[in-house]
Amino acid sequence: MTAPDSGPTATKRTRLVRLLVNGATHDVAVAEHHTLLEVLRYQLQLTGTKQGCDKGDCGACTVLVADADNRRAPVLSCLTLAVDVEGKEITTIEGLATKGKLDPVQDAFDRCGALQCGFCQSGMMLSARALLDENPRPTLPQIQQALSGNLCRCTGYTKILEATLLAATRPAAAGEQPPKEPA
Amino acid sequence: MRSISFSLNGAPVTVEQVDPLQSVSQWLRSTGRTGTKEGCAEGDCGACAVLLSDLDAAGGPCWRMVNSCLTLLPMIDGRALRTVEGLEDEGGLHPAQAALAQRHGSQCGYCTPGVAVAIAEAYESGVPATPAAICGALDGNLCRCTGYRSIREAAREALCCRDGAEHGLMVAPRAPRAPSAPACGLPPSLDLEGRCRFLRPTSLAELLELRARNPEAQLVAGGTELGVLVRKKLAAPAALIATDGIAELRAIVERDDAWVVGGGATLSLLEEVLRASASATAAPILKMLRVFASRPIRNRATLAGNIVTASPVGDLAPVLLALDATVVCRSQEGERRVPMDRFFVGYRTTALRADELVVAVEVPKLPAGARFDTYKVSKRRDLDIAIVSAALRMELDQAGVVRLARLAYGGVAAQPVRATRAEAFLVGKTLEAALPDVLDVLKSEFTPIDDVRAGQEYRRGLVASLFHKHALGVQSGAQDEAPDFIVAAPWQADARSRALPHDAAAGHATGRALYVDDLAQRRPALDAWPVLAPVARGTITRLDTSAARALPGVVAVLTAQDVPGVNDVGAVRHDEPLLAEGTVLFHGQPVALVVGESVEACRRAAAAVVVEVAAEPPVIGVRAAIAAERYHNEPHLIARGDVTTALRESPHRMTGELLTGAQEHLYLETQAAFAEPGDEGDVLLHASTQHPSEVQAVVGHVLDLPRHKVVVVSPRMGGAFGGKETQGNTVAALVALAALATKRPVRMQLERDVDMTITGKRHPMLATWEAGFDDDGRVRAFACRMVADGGYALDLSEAIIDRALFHLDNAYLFEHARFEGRVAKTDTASNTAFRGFGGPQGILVVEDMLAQVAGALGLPPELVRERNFYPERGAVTHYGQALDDHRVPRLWHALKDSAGFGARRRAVDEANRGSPWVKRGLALTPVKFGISFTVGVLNQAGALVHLYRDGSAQVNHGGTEMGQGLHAKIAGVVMRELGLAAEQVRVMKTRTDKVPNTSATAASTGADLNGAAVMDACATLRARLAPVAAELFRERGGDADVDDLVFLHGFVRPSSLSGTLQVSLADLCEAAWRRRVSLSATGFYRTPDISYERARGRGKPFHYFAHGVALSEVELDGLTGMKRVCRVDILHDVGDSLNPAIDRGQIEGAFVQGMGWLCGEELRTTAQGVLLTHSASTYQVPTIFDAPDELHVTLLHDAPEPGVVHGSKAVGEPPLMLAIAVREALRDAVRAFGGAGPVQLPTPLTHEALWHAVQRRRGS
Repeated sequence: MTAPDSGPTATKRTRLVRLLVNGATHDVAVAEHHTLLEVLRYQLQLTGTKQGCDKGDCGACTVLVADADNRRAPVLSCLTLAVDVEGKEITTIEGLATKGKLDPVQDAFDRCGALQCGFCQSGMMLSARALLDENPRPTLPQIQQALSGNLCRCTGYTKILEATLLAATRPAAAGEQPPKEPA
Repeated sequence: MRSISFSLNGAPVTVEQVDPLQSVSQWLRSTGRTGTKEGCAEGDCGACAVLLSDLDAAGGPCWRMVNSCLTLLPMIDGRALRTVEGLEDEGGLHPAQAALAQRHGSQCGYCTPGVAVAIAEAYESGVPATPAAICGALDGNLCRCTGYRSIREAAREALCCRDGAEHGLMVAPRAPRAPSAPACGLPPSLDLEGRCRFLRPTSLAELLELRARNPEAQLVAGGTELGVLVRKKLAAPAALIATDGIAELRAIVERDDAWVVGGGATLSLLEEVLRASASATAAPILKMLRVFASRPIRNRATLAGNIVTASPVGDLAPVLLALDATVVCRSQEGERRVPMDRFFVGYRTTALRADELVVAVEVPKLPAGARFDTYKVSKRRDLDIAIVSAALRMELDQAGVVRLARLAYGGVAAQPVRATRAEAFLVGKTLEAALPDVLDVLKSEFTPIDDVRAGQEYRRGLVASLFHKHALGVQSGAQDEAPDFIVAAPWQADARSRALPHDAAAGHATGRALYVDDLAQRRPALDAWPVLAPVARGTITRLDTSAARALPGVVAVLTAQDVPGVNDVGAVRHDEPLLAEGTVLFHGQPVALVVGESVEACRRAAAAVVVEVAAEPPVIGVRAAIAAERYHNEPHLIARGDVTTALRESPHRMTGELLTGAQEHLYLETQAAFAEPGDEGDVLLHASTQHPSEVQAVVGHVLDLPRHKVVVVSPRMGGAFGGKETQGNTVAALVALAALATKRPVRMQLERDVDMTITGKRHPMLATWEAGFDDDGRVRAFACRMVADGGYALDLSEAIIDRALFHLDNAYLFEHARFEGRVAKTDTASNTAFRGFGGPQGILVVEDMLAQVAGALGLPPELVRERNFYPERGAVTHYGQALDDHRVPRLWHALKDSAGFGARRRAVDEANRGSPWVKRGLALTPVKFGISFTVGVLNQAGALVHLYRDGSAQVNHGGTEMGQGLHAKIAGVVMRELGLAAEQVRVMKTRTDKVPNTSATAASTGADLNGAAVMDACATLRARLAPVAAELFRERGGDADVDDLVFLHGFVRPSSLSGTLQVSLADLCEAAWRRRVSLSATGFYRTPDISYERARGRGKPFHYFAHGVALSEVELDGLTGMKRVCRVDILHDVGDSLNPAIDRGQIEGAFVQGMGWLCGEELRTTAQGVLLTHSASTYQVPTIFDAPDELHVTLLHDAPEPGVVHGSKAVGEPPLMLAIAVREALRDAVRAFGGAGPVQLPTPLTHEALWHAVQRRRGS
């Protein structure tokens, strides 16, 4: 199916919204009541962002949204209307690696084996990235605090904490914006 | 306003953000309503047919079938739409659907939703259950599989069911239904904005004002011309003004002296009014309307629209000219009456002013006694553009002197014109006095052009001979009479396992069966469009994709540089670049691929890719290649005896040459594939392919992936006929490449024109031969050299020319034979497999030779054929294979008896003696066709059968389903092998991860090879289940022998016991599972004892031979060259049929497809290598009218073939060659026009070619 406005029952209001995702610009006809998560997954086909509970309790849907000062903060995309992030830079898990190189957080999660089923992992890593952007050398309690909104049912968290600590020892591609997608 | 509303299958729908130039079919499909198909996107195939609410002549609501590919979305605003999905109701299938499903009216099923809609329109609107009305209702629907016999009979039964007449359907009749209010009135006013403004006024005053205010706007009624321009040429008018909201424009008023046809009245409405009229002038107009485009076009197109486009042909323009019609034009300034003969002022221009519109056309009625008739000559009688159309009117006085003449023609000048010189010549003379000379006047009156439809000489000749025909009062079934058919005798019912319908019969009829693009439309995916080489041969000097990349909606533009693996998709030899690299090898070769967010974005970007080529003169056609000595391979020679001596010693010698025609597959579903990148660097492909394993191999090769990373699914094909054996490789590899490059799913279904341009055809072959024969017509020696036009790459051409050589004997024993074959290299698309695979070309040549031998000796051709037959046993073919069971003589004599050959021969000769201008012809021809891949390694197959604990089975095999009913045959085999009921067997979609390393489903071997592999798996399962059953029986006190169990009708029991000791398969499977016995088994088969030594030209390449015989009777109109196939009787050998009804469908469909190859389908390529006939509108495959009026098929009974699945024989290809009987019957008819000696015929035998043949024969 293409845009949801073409369906037989779609009489809801739609708006043309410009979304800036991972450095690419998307002009999307967005139903005003649709969440950022829905638009990412079902209109832009960026399915790396997961839907775990749809009410902000699990953190699987975490993405990063930059503010006016270009500071990226974690946002629960299932609780955010797409029309409310118009024009803001959004980073999803698909945009975390830059120039084909893994982000140190991704690399660390890989090295530490901080995953099992992997469903929480994109949200978890984006939360960790937001923390490290803000605080490059966090303490363990600070990490625990920063990741407290992300549930993991498999790992028992130990390796996730280790991975975040390991990532903190490596420099991020600091201040670098995600590159434009190849045309 | 940006939205429209309408009713869809009874539910209200509002579409917002409407693109006013999107077609209804595009919208339906993109929103997942994929029952509606697209086959041509120009209203020429009917696969997209839907029902639209309209008003009938009485002003009541009615459903009208329209081509949704040409209908723009705003046009259905305020109306009701009913698609194939909406034909069903709470009572189940609509009788139209039930009839198609129960009467084998579908094979591949791609045309079937449109056919169901067409029958439904006839059902709902009261079309009578007569053959003429049924053919008329279906004249806009092309079917490439069935040959139409089953479709027309299904339609008849559905209508009989409605009428309470006798029928055999299992369906509840229901009352015809009209669309319900409020959608049945005139459509409401509309002002839609978007990239094109769409205005629909509801009063004439408003319309005239809009017209004056928007001179740039285009008026549109049915949009059947506009739709083609929008869909095929990406026309983007700034504004459209629709005329269908204005009641007075849609009216037709019948006066005593004339019909006043409103400018917005559809042709169907005109037909309804004329049919109800008492005037004698109505019938000739109706005759022209019957062959005007097609039913769905006439349902939308208007008389005014037909004349304002001022087509040089314009079928109705000559009619209006001959009748002295008046065009009533109006603007805000007032009304103007323009006589018809002043309306056309030049090529595509009229006297209509920019602010004017045609409000009506006044069509006068003629006085009693006027001689008036209409004629249309076209390559195909229905659904085609005229070569020449004519409306001829004369008024004679009591003495027979012509007082008034109006001779109007289309297709002979820049505009429809009257032959005024001839008219003046006639007036004042009697016809007898004028006749010989007026023909000369007519022949020189116009200077028509040569074009893709016909040559100048034919057109010039038709101008005269149509008048001649009118003057003589000759009527032919071929041109003038209504279509007709005789219902074939019913067949006896078979056992359930041999009477299964096609596994998707109901899915086809309801639109629920999903094809590749239907699956793709249900998922988010990128689209793609290829950039094609502009010339046939040269060096690429510049390839610049930058402008295209910058366009909106473009995601990537891929070239050969982006191929990670090997840039090649060649099937046999690696000589087929996926994307052109450095050099261009044929016109239309893919050079780049645009990937983007919509087809249209890709298409616009593709036009922006700069491809510059330093062109070189191409080598086009087999003769040019021979002259240039360009070949793909070394000659293959098969010889025996001493041809040179035998020729020298023969009483008669004859040489000949025949260039066999090319043929386009025209599968209704064009090449399509859909690729999804997996999460392990893998790719999942859905492809419309006969050969999933090869697609897997090619994609792996192109992407540099091991084959385990590539999974290919062939869910079903909308027709293939060999055209999807290798030709799908490019499309599949392109979408796979695009999916890996963009990391997103990518789909592509080729547009028809692109498909026809870039894919190969049936090989034209040039045969030069010499035969030596005696006075009795016995051929003592036959030498033949065949050169195939291979195109730019080898593809499968080597095996194809081999098969031509293997079939140069057909059913005849040539003691001294020397056959040589070679593949020429030309600069066109690479020619490829097509049903028969070279066999048809070989058999055509030998049948042509025998016909000429008979002609030279003055012997009946059937006698010459009989005298040369192989004996029933003991003979050896020219390549050394023993013929132990040659069934042709047996079939031949049986058919001659059963079809009454002798009496009919006398009747035809008698009829011809009394009919100087229209002749009948009769001919009988045989076929013997070798079964096996001649490349030995391919004769293997695999299967995987799973039984589940409830006794149901999933059957996987390597064969693909392209409409031939393979899955139904396999299911029947499994039912018999495992004793299962039909409901317990499910044949799965073909996938490379279920059965690996398969061969193409080709060479007619699908059921032979895969059926045998499935039997092997079933035998393994039976061997595992039998001990369990025996144990169960012993537990119950029985004494069962493991080797003595019968699996039948869902139960297993000891064969020796008649008691109650039995166990259901369900219980047996459960018991086996509890005993930890595996319920899953693979199966494998390889054809035994076949081999061939190419270097020596000796061996046993075939497992066995299939045989058949056909008797055809035709009628040929010598004044126009038009033909009609009146009756065909076929007796065919399929061994013990696996499924008689499905085999019958294969025989009928192959026969009609073969007729198309021989007698109508014509591909035209320029000397520069540009294919001119690349659409359904310029390449004419048979329509329902072309099917034989009577088609009687009988299967040879009690004819088991040892060593083949359940005694059966292959059926897919052999019957195609039975159509040679039609060509030979036409030769017989041409012969009847006079002259002496052999009749020479070219291929294809178009109406033009037949006219020339008759001219030669008549010595004029």
